[in-house]
Amino acid sequence: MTLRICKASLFLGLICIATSSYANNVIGENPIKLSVVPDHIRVGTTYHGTEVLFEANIPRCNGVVVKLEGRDNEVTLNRKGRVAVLWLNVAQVIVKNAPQAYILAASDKLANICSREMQQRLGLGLESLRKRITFESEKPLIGSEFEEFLRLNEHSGLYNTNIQIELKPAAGDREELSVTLPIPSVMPPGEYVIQLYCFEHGSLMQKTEAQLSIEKVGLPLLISTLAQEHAALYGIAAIIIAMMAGITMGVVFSLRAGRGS
Amino acid sequence: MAHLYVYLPIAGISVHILLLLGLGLMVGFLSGLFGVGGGFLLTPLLMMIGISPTVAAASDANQIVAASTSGTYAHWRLGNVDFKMGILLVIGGIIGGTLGVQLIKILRAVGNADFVIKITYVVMLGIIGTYMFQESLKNLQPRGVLQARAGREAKSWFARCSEALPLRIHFTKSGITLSIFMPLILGTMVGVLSAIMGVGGGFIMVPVMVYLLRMPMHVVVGTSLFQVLFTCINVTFMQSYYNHTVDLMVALLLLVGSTSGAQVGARISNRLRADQLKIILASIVLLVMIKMALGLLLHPSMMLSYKGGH
Repeated sequence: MTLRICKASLFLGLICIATSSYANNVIGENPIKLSVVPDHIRVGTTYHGTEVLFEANIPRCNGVVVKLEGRDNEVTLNRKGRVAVLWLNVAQVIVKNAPQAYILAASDKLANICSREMQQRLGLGLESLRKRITFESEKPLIGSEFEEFLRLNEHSGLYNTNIQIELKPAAGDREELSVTLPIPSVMPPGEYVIQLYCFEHGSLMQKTEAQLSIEKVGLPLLISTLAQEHAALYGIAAIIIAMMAGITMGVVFSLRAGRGS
Repeated sequence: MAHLYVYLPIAGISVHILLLLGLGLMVGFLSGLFGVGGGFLLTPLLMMIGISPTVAAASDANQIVAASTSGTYAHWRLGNVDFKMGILLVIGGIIGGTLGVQLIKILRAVGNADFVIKITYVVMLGIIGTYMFQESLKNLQPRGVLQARAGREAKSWFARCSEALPLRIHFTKSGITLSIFMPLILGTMVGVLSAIMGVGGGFIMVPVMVYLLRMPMHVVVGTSLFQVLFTCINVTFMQSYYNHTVDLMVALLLLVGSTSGAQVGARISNRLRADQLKIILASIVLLVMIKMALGLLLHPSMMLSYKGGH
C-alpha cells in the first residue's frame, strides 16, 4: 500500500515538474533572446542602488509587459489612528503574500494589452496585487490598508508600476525591446525573477523569464554576518571602536590645543 | 558624486556620506556644549533620511558612546567631571532603566505604550524647556531685583526633604553636600524616563543636576556626559545582542563627526556663561517638543509605518 502511494506521488510529481517547466519556457514558435545587465548585483560599501538594463529580441506583438518580482514576504506594520485629538499607533497590521519588490514595465496601459482575468492570472498590475496581498489585525481593518501599503512601498521605490517599454522594429518581423528597471538601494539582497510577456490581441503569445540576484559583498557582508551570527562580539566591538574613536579624538584635540596655547 | 554614497548594511539603504558626517558634527557639538547625548534630536533625524526607527535608535546609542567618551575626556581635562556624583547617578540610572523596561512591557501588554511614550516625551520636553527658559531669563535681570526676590522666597519643600535625608557626603568637585540617596533617587527617576522614551536621558539629567542637585553648570555638563556614556554602552550592547539593530557603518560615520563636534562644543561651553548655555539648550528642547506635538496633532502623511518606532 505504502509503495503504491509512493509511486503515485512520484508520478504526480513528474507531471507537475513537466507542466511547470513548460509554463516557464517559450509558448510560441519563435524563441526570445534576452539579456539582463547586470544579472548579479554586488552590494558593496559604495552601493547606492543601480539600474538593470533588460533587452530582448521578440516576435512582433501588440503588447509587452516586463515584471520584476521578489519572493513573498510577511511584514508587520504600525497603523496610525486618532485617539482624542492625537494621532498615535493604534494597531499592528500583518501584511501577507506581499512581494519584497514589484517593478512593472509595459508597452501600453495594461487594460489595452490584456483582460483583467489575464492580468489576475499572471499577477500583472496593481489590481492583481490587491487581490493577492492580505491584511490581518487584532483591531478592525479600515479598508484603505492596500492603498497605504502601496504608498509606503512606492515611496521607497520597491513598488513601481509606471515604467514605459521602448520597442524598435528589427529584422524578420521582430522587435527590439529595451527597458531600464530602477533598483533602489533598499531592495533586499536575494533572488528576483524578471518575467517577459508578449500579448497579441489580448492572448498570451510568449513568456520567458530571467533571474536577477542581489548579494552583499565586502564590508557590508562582514558587518551583516557579524551582527547576525556573533551578536555579543559585534556589540562589544561596536562599543570598543566607539570609545577608542572618542579617546583618540580627545587626545588629538588636546594635543592641538596644547600646541595652540 | 556617486562614490560619496555609502551602503548601510543593517539599515539596508544607502545615504550620502556628508549627510551622516554633518549630522554627527552637529549633534556632537551640542553634546560637548550642553552635556546631552543628542539622541532626542538625532534619532528622529536619522528616521527622516529613511533609516528604520529601531536601527536609528540603536546606532545612535552606539555613536553617543563615542561622542560622550570624547566629551567626557575633554571635560575631565578641563576639571569638569564629578566622578563621585556621576557613579551614583549611573547606579540610579541602571536601576531606573531596568524598572522602566519592565514598565514598558506592562504598558505594551495593556496596549497603552505608544500613548504613554509620546505623552511623556512632549510633557517632559515642555516642562524642562519652559522651566530652563524662564529661569535663564530671570537670571538675565539686574542683580538687585534677583537678590530682593531670593530674600523673600522661603526654602522649597524639595530642599527641606533633601536636607532631611541621611548619609550626607561632600562632593568636592561640585562644591555641594548631599545625602547619597539624592543622586540615587534622581538617577533612578531619570533612568525610568529614559527607558520609556528610549533615549540616553542627558537632556533630563542636565536640568535635574542644575535645578535639583544645585551643581555648577560646567560640572553638570561633564558629569552628565559621564553618565550618558554608561547608559549608551548598556543600550548598544543590548540592542546588538537581542535585536541585531546596531549599524556599525552608521555609527562610524556619525562618530567621526560627533567626536570632533564634541571637542569643539566642550571648549565653547567653557567660554559661555551658564545662563547663555541654558537658554540655548532650553530653546532646542522647546523646538523639539513643538515638532513632536505637531506630529501628534497633524494628520500623518502615511497611515502605515514600519514597526519599531515611536
